[in-house]
Amino acid sequence: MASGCDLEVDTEQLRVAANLLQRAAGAVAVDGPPASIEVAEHAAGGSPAGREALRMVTARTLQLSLASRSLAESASRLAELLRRAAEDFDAAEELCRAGG
Amino acid sequence: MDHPVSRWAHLYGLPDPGVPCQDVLDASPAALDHLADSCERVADAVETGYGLIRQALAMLEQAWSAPAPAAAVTSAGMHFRRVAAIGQQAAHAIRTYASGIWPAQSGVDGALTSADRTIVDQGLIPDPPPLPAVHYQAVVGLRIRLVEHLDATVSPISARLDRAALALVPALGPDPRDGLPPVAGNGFGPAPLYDAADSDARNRVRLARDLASSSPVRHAFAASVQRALQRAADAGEVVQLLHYDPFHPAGQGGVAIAIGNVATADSVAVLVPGVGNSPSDASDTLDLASDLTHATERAASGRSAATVVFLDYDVPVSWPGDTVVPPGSSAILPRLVDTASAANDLESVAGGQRLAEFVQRLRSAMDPTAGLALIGHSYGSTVVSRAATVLGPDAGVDDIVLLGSPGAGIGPRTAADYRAVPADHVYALGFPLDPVASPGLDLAAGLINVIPLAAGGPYGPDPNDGFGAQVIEAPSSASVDRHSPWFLSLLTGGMSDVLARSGAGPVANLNQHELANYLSGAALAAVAGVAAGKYAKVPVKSGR
Repeated sequence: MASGCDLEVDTEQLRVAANLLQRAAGAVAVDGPPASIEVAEHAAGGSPAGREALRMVTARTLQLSLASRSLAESASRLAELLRRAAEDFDAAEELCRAGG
Repeated sequence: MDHPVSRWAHLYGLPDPGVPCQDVLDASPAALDHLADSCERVADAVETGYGLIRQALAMLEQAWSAPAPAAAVTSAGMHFRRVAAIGQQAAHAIRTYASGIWPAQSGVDGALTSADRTIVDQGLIPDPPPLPAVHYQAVVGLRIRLVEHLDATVSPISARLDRAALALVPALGPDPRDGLPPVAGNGFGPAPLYDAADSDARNRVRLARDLASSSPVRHAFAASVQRALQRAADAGEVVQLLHYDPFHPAGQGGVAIAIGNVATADSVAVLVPGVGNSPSDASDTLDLASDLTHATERAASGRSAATVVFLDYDVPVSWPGDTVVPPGSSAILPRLVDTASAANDLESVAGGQRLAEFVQRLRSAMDPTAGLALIGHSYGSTVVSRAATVLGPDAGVDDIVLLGSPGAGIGPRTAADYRAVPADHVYALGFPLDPVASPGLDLAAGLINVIPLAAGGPYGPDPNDGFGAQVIEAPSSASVDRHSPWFLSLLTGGMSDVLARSGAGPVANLNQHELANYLSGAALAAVAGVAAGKYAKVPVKSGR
């Protein structure tokens, strides 16, 4: 039965959304971005163009790895915010019911 | 490349097909595929994460009607989606490039195998070919044809791979719209902008092409540079051709040649010679660069050093040594213009800019902890001075040294005006009987100048007098009775003689001014001390 203390937020669903975000964070959290990429200096060819190509390839590979960690952190932070929001809503509802 | 064809290319002055062969064969498509896998794994994981975020968003929109949380999750989802797309695009681009390497390597392999077969079938080994001489000529002809054939076969293969490498730029080049975190260099250290060994190899290929060229201008210039390189190499020096251009600047050509390995040296000096030098006649200057290199190593207790001779500016009065005359010109007019240009510092403005650009490339090829000094002699000191005003404090220049300087040129009024180095890292040395470093030159130059003069005279302020530089105290090693070139006597020695006869002082002589004098004896030790960063070994006085 609905009461005057029912907030228009479904905290259970909020927690489910938070868990999904946490799973998204876990999906992209690789073992951590490598500090460097081990690859032979002339792997893309020994010419200046080949070296430049390798520089771009390794930079982009490392960049993606760093971006993936950043995405994981971002999703995890959002999940945590939603969890806290759910807790705060539950606490507010309890307080209301207790006549506070 | 260790192949007979490479050896013959060098022996007969032909482009070395071993260079493009090696460029292609060094590539590792498997390593690139591995990197593509890595990009793809990230893309797949992020795509999975994106699916979960969409589910989370749907759930959140049902659970909480406030717009801000949904907007935050939507924004995160867009980042996930973008990174997944970038990862897939990168993986695809890398795989496409890697897939082009296999056929390129196969083509090079085939060309080398064919060359090997030709060598055996036609009996082109041993080296030297057996007598009689008529047979020798035939073998040399066959070898030359084989070198040219291999070059014609593999150069297009290498060029195709280069084009494919450059095609990666749109897919992998930095784009701020990506929103990806910045990465310094390539992930395994700052990317070198300029590789000395690579540059040396490529310039030698160009030199070899010019040696085989039907253009007399190219051939003569290349032959003169080759002679200088060979003489230094024969003396047991490590020689690097860091810059080679048969036509620029202003038609006389340009070179930058290092004695020593600039990539590994603990101290690198760039020596800029002045009036009367030519990129086509660099042997004597390279000898002096060797002396400076070894003196610097001694000053630094055996740590390694290198000296780059920079002759890539329009050196006034270079024509006695030049092999190149601008096409369509009579020889006289360019020579007159070339001589008159010594009478002011205008060439130093463009030269200083070229030197500054070269120094930036050079610095990126050096060990970051190595010292770098710019040393200019005569007109070259004005060029160095100009470069030190163009380069900023982050250019990695530690010291500048102005030897036998006619003046610091347009711009700096004192040593404190340089941007590249602080005033206490500006060194100057002018021998008392050097007519170029004396006021007499300004008077002589003023007589033939038709343009407005810079502050302090046609060459700017004297760095040895009231300029605020560290004035080196070292005696001249030269005698006073040697003959001077007439063109410089006209500009300087003649005026000094007039001044001397009128009782103004002792007779100056151009042998006092020669770079060899400034790089010998106590002066050499002092300059080497600066180049090595051993400042305590540099005797200085407060001002001349």
